[in-house]
Amino acid sequence: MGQLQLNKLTKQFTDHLAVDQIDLQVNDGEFVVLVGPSGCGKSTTLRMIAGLESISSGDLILNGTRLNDTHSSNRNMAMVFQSYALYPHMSVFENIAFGMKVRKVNKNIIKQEVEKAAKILQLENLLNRKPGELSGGQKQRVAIGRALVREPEVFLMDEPLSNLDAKLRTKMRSEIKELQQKLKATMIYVTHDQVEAMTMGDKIVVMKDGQVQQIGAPVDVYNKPINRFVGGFIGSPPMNFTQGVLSNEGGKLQLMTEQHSIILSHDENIALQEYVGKKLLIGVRPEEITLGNEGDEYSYSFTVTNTEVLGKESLIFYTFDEHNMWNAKLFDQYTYQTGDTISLQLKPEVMHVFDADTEERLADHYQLSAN
Amino acid sequence: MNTTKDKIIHVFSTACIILLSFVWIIPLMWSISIAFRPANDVYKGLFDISGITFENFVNAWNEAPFGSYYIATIIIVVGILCVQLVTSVLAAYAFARLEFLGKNVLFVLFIVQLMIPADVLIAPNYEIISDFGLIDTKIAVMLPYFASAFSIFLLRQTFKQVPIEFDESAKMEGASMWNILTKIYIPMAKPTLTALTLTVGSFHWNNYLWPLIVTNSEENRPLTVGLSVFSASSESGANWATVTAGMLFVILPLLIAFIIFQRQFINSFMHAGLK
Repeated sequence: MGQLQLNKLTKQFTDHLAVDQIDLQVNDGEFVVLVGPSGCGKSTTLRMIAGLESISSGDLILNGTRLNDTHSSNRNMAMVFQSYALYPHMSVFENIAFGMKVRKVNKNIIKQEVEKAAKILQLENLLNRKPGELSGGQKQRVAIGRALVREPEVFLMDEPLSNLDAKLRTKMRSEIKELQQKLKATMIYVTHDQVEAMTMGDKIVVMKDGQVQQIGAPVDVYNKPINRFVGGFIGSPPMNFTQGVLSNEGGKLQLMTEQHSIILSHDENIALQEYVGKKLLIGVRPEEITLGNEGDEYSYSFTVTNTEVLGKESLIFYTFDEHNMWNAKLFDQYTYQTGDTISLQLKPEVMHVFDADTEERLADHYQLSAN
Repeated sequence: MNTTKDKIIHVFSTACIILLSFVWIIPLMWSISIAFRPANDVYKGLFDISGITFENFVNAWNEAPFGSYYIATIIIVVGILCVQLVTSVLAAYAFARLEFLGKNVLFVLFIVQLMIPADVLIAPNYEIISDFGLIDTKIAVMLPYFASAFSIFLLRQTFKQVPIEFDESAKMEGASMWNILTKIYIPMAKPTLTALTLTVGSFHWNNYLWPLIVTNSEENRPLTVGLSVFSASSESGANWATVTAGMLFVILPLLIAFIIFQRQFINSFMHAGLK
């Protein structure tokens, strides 16, 4: 398997810059997920790696060899497309064997390889069927099978689960991850679904407007989002934000927002003191908000706008202030009605502190959490 | 829900279809019945089939070189089909998938050809064929039809519907452009190609004016021209029984083909969006 390096990789289309100087190291056997909203440049990056899109500038290096000018067929990479790209007039066997046939591989070897891949992917009984006779999940497996027989250095996957229903997507997610671990394959996976990114990747690359926002292990990105965008994008439901001016009220650090004074710390020696009188941006994940009691130090009252019961969890939507709608994910079933008042606890240690102007996360020593 | 209005429309359209079928089938049945009648019984009632005879077919076959006309027609139709399908497939792929300078202008020029009636081109085409010294050859009949704006347009539209990922996936697997065209695009365009083969084939089987203009000799004449010469000749001398027998020689292969391939005929037109 291969080790891939992207050095200042850029894609300039005639009218816009799609990918802006991306640096990325994909280690041997690593599962890297490129994640971001539509139009962030993740698919273009993958297509540049695949050789389906020319590279405007920068270097693409696989196992020490520069691949910028190498034809896609000679890059030893295999790609699984969002639409699966299965040829409808060919059987499953022919689809998987297509690449080997055009490369004029011996027929016996083709048969052997296809059967091997079919066994891994549990497609043995479907080899004579046409793609039109397969379910979404089976089609997906055939597409993976076609990539598998190529024995590539790097597997590239472009939103391969987006055409599947939610249940099947969950199943295929774990199947792909298991397969990657079994084969110890180097895999680059593109998705706009942050749940896929969080659950599948060894490393996730969050992108926006053609630029990399943050690279890291999913948990690290979740725990320490580098800016407001990453905080809002990674995690479901998204992080809540509010802005306010930091004030020191008799030794108590508070964020003065439109309607609330949010207590951040009682510690006068905290580094955040430097920001007193300045604007700050605070982010709180819905799942870190808990029910509070009126009168509790960290409890605040809000007006409920909507409640969604998700089985054993409830999603409470409420008005934080005139400009910010927040939500809280509470464990248990709650049936608050619109207009009800709810008391919720916002403990300082669950807050992420960002610069209000740059929206960048403040350094660790300014954060209120233990880390 | 079926309203009274719907029912009236349904009955009216069915009646129209039946009427049209009669308009189409009566001359055909009449011709067939005449072809099987003794020459003296031609005017003896519309569908009088007493005294069936094959004599008219024997006479027609002996009086005119229908064998030679068949061979010429088959060569011309197959020749046009083979070359036209190859040129159309290649041009359609280029217009659908390749990027080259002036592609759009060139395509518009091709489309403009669709608007020019074929008859307008008879004189200039004749001049070119004559300049090449090809008058009275089978190639002269075929040459103007080796490329067709209609076929190119139709195939280009079909090729454009093939997802681009098929190309990309195949390219990554090491397939050449030729591989992609022959193994992916052509098989996927089968319904359109079948529809084209049937329309182009039947058009050229029945084509009359152009072959009449550029052919003089028996061995280069297709069936349509041969029949016209035969019906006007002294041998047939307004012998309608022999002439209709000769006419059946012309239309019989198409009729049989239609009866056998009726389903494919209709399906392919539906698939190709030609209905």
